[in-house]
Amino acid sequence: MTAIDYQIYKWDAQNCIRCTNCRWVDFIWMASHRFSKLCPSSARFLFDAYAAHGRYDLSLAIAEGRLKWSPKILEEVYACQLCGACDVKCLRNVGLEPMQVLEWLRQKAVEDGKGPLPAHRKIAGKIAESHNRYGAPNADRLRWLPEGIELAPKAEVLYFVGCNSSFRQQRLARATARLLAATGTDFMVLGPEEWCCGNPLYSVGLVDEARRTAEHNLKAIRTSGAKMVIASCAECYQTLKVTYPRLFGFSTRDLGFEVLHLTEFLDRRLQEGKLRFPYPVEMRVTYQDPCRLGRMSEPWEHWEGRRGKYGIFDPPKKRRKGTFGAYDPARRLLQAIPGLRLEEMERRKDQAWCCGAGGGVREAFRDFALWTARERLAEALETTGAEAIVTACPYCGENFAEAIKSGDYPLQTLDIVEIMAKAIAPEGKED
Amino acid sequence: MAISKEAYRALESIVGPEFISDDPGVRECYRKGGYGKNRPALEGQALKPACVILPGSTKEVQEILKVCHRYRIPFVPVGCFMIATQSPKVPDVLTIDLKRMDDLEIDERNMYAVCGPGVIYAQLQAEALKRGLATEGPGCGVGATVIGNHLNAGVGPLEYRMGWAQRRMLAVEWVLPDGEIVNLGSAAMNEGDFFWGEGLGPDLRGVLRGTFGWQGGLGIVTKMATKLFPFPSQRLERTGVSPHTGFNLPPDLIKWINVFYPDIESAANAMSELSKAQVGMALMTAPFTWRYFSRAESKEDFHEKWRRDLPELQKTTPHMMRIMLVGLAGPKQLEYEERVVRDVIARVGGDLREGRPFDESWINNADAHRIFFPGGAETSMKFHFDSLDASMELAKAAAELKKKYTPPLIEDYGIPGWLQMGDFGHVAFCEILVYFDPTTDPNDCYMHEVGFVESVRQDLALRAYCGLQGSYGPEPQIIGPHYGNYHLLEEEFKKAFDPENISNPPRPLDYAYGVDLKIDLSPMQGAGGNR
Amino acid sequence: MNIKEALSRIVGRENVSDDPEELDAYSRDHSLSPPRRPSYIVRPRTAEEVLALVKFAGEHRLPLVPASSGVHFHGGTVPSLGGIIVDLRQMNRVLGIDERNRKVRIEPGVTWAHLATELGKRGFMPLFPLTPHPLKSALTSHLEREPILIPKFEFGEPLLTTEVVWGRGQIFRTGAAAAGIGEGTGSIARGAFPHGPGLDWWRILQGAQGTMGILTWGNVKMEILPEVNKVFFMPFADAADAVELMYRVGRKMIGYEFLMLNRMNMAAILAEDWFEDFDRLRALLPEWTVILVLSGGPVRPGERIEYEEEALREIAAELSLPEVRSSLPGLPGAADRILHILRHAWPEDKLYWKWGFRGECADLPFLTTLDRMPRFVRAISDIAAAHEYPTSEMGIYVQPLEYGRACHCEFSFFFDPFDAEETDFIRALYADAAKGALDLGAFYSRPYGILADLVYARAGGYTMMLKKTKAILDPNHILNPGKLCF
Repeated sequence: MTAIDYQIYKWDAQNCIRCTNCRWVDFIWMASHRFSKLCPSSARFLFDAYAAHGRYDLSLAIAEGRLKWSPKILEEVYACQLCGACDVKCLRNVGLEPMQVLEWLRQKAVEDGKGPLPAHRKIAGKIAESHNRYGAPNADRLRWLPEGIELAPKAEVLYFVGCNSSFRQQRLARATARLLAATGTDFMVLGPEEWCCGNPLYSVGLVDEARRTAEHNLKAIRTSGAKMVIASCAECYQTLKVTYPRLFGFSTRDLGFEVLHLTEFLDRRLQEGKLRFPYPVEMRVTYQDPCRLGRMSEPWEHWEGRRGKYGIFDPPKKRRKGTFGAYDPARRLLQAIPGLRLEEMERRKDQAWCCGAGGGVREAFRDFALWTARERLAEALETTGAEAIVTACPYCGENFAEAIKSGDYPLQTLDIVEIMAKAIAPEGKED
Repeated sequence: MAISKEAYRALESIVGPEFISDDPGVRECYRKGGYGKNRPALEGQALKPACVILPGSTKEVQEILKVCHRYRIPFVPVGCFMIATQSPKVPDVLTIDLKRMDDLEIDERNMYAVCGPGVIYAQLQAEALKRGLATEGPGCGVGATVIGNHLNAGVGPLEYRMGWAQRRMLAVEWVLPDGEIVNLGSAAMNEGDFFWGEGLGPDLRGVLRGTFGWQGGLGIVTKMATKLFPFPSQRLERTGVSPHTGFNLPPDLIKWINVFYPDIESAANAMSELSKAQVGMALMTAPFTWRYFSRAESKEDFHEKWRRDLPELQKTTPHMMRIMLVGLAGPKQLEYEERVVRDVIARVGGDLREGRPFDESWINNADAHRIFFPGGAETSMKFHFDSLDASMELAKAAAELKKKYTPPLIEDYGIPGWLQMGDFGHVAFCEILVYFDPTTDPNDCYMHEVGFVESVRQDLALRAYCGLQGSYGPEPQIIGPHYGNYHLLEEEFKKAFDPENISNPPRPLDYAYGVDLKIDLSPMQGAGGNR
Repeated sequence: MNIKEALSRIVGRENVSDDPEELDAYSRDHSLSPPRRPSYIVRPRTAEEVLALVKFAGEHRLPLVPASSGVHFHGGTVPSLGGIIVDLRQMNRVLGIDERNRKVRIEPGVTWAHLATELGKRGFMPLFPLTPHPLKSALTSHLEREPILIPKFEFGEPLLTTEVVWGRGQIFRTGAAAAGIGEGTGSIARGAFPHGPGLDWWRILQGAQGTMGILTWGNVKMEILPEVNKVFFMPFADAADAVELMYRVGRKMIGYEFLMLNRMNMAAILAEDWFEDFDRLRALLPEWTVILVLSGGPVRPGERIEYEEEALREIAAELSLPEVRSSLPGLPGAADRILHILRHAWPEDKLYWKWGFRGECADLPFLTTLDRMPRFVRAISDIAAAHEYPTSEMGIYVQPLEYGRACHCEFSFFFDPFDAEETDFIRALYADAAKGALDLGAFYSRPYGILADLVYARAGGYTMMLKKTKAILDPNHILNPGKLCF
């Protein structure tokens, strides 16, 4: 059984009026012809099956048995980063929620034994076996820890490191730790008790598998007594904050702890005067809003009920429109760093173009992921002249880095923690 | 395969394998379109195309159409496919999706843009605004393609000064169903010169469209130049996060003024006087329902507030007239026009209030599709162009008729639609919008259809000019005999230029043709009109 | 079959003529078109009579050539293949003035003089082209898409709804008139909206020179006659120097009448006589004069002129224009005179300005953009010089269209029609000028005479489509055959 009840969202699929807003940047914010698109899937593959309005049609046909799963249709479903752009756009006007249907399609593919794709299953296998997406020994989760950083055995703050920073881009975990220390924040970690957050599973429709790892993590966090969980990875952040309550049928506020992205936490510290950046970083940068930190990060409100006439939810349901995404904390932090010039791309905040990595795309459609990233790099270069594209998610960073290397682009990608770390420590001593 | 192997191979060799597909999933997504998709006539008739192709140039379009012509493959061109008229109605259709052809060039000095069929209004507007120019975003939203909308509808409030879309067409490059390319306007004489649209003698833009267009029934337009207009766009400031995005307006150059009236007659009279005074860049009435749409947090929120406030609104029947003033010649023009507006309103009456210095709806209409928000479906039960008084009288008659079909139509009050002035007051437009849920109870959709047909008959009975000539439904066969059998003349043009009947068949016949709707579609006797 | 008898039965004996002098008069006009003689002239009075004529002609494949004016300039009414002139001048009523919607319904025989007088009585004015001949049909001018002096968009397309008799033998009403015209007939429809039903028939009728259908009436826009006006003159030595001014005035959307005339045309229009005064003006006037009329609206008229004048002077300052003046040196009262000329038909008691210099005039009209206009001036001047035609005797008129997004250019070659050699000379010059302009990208949207040959040869697709359109609307090919590409 799929976690999402299609009968609730079938009304959306039937009443999509094909305004195609789901493909385009908000019409107020659209500033050029060149950078006018918002849906990478539709922009790359062009056929309407690759846009949300097309996937509505696919969902109806599959639900009604008029269409049978095939490799091509699986591609049409999975070649999508689940970046949430279509959801924000559709909710702006017509009030429908395409993301529910996009996720349902994947859950349905899994339920029917056709999904996910082999590349996703490979990762699922690693998570099942090793509790991280790389198949590395989970006992090594703390290898990133630098000297001089003390972990509190018990603290109000828990740092959820995530697989990528634990095993791959360990410098990001180290920089995070130094930044937390610089603000006088005691923090703990789960260490080997930290399992993959589960996003690589949930996003491809493996709901049961996602529940298993989520259940473990929830228990571990609650047992730790943490009041606040900080993630430096936007995917982990959104998974903990939104997907976990969703998987278990409650609301974000009932988690028992607050979930913050590192930028949100450090922004608070900045406002409190507990974070300062004494060292300049002379650089012209632009900022990539990670989808899961931005438009997809609003808290989850549990809802149960029925769908009535006019598509009304009974009882009324709160819609997550992307209005209150965490767009500004990172910007305030960057603007507080002396010597740093922040230039905005045309597509920003809730209208940000996805980095290309999410939704299982980087794993199953690497070319498409890199194409998406290249589109963003072109925007950074042509509209801001930035020397670096700064992001707040290691997966964004990874995807950009590979795209930069493959195309020899004259800019670099940096995680915001790296820049902040430069700004709090003298040169050469940042890590 | 429904398209023969030979034909498929020929098509594939034109565009390359990446841009053609007969995958069932792809085809499923080109079946119904959007606006009107749930209407009962379409239900039985909307078919999956056999194949979808994405040409990248005029040359490819020409070659594709030649293949279709040779192999007698019916084809349907689509831009954004927002209206269900582009739904395939016969088997084995080749759907030609034009979205790749999105070239855009602007001649800033001579104020026009040359667009490919994949360019949407929002893209054009974004580029125009950079240059102190603007186009008009139609009521159906700026996600519509410029060419598709110019060919078919294209009505919005800035057309008070800019003209309806058919007036804004300049030169055109047109591929006829047999693959022959015809250029209209200056492009007919000088290759690549798109600055003007009039004919070499008779103007064949008259064959391209009238009140509506062919909806792909007479080939494919692959380039169109459209007029742009001066606008103080460099002072517009983008603001907000979804769903509250909009332009902050420079208060010394752009201003909305709203004037409230208890009835449509006084609102219309004010519009007449203001247009005679030659002020403003947009002038219309707007229904209060739209305020509720745009302010609602959710569907539930809308319905709750609307139910709460409707009794009072039905008692007091407030009507809102809006005028947008623009100081193209500078702030002094804005000041002057505001003085004139106040003078006129002081004379004719009305409760005048300044609008917020903010716009999300008309310059680059970000929220046009809110009209689909309350019920799921919206249709324009009345779509009418003539003088202001004709529009007002018909709007009142339509409001009465609408009550008969409420429910299933969502309840409203006063004039459930809007009036717009066009051509600086020489013409006007009225549209009566109705909202309903087309899927929860199929009978609601059927009742709407009955009401729609009755609305068409009402136009004839009252001898008003029925604007629904574009075959969104069964209109041509009902109204044609009263308007000089224009539909039969159109049939002759169809036979002349699409003798194989492969261009979106059965256009120009209506899509309900031959479908047993159990609604009386017979022509009326005794109604006035053309001899 | 006795054609004259048959025609008499339709329109009445008194309205049929085969008088040789009358036929001669219709065999030529004020253009360079070679003479062609009709066989009959008929003068219908109603749409039904026109319909009967069309049906009769269709049965017998007789050409019908509609003519609505008392004067013809472009060869459109010279019957290329003989036939019957349908003289519509008896259909000359102003049928209805709709002040509220600012439109007027007129029959084809209504002249500019008549229309202006009737509207003037009520404080309105028609949308004038430049100095129309008083006997010219106003409806025909709009059908021919003669450019309007006021480049505001909404004034640029004055034709609204019509009643037409198609060549196929059908009375048809275009636009909202298909449903009704108001005027107390009981219809809600008022006939204001030009589009449809179905296709845009009015577009097909425009520029057709009567080859698709014969109009029996038309609704056209009219405007409130401004009570307060201020005329400005801006002199230029070179047409190119005026281009930026014209663009900027357009961008600010200020003003009413806005045009540019060269010295020759300006002198011809203003001259009180063709001897001393004409020569004096030719010596006095600048090479080019841009005329801009600022007019007050109905409310606070002076205030509109105030801000528009300020805007104009700002433009002038930005462009460092030497002069923006409300008078012409040596010409007292020029502003009032120009305003009067621009808002009236040419006076009936005065020789038409195009004929005063040499007796006749051949006009070469085309469309282009303002930035390209100077190269046409240079090129055609060069061609004239190559023919040893004094360029100072060439008339040039530049009319910005629609806020300056394009412009109409008209080059006038004056000649003595009684001098065969001179006429041939002008004919050759005209042909070369037409070809030269064509090569530079001139757009002949009104292809009269030899322009039709140039144009349709180049536009194969368009020509094909026109012919098929004609085959539908005039299947018997009876309406003005031999014109355009027919």
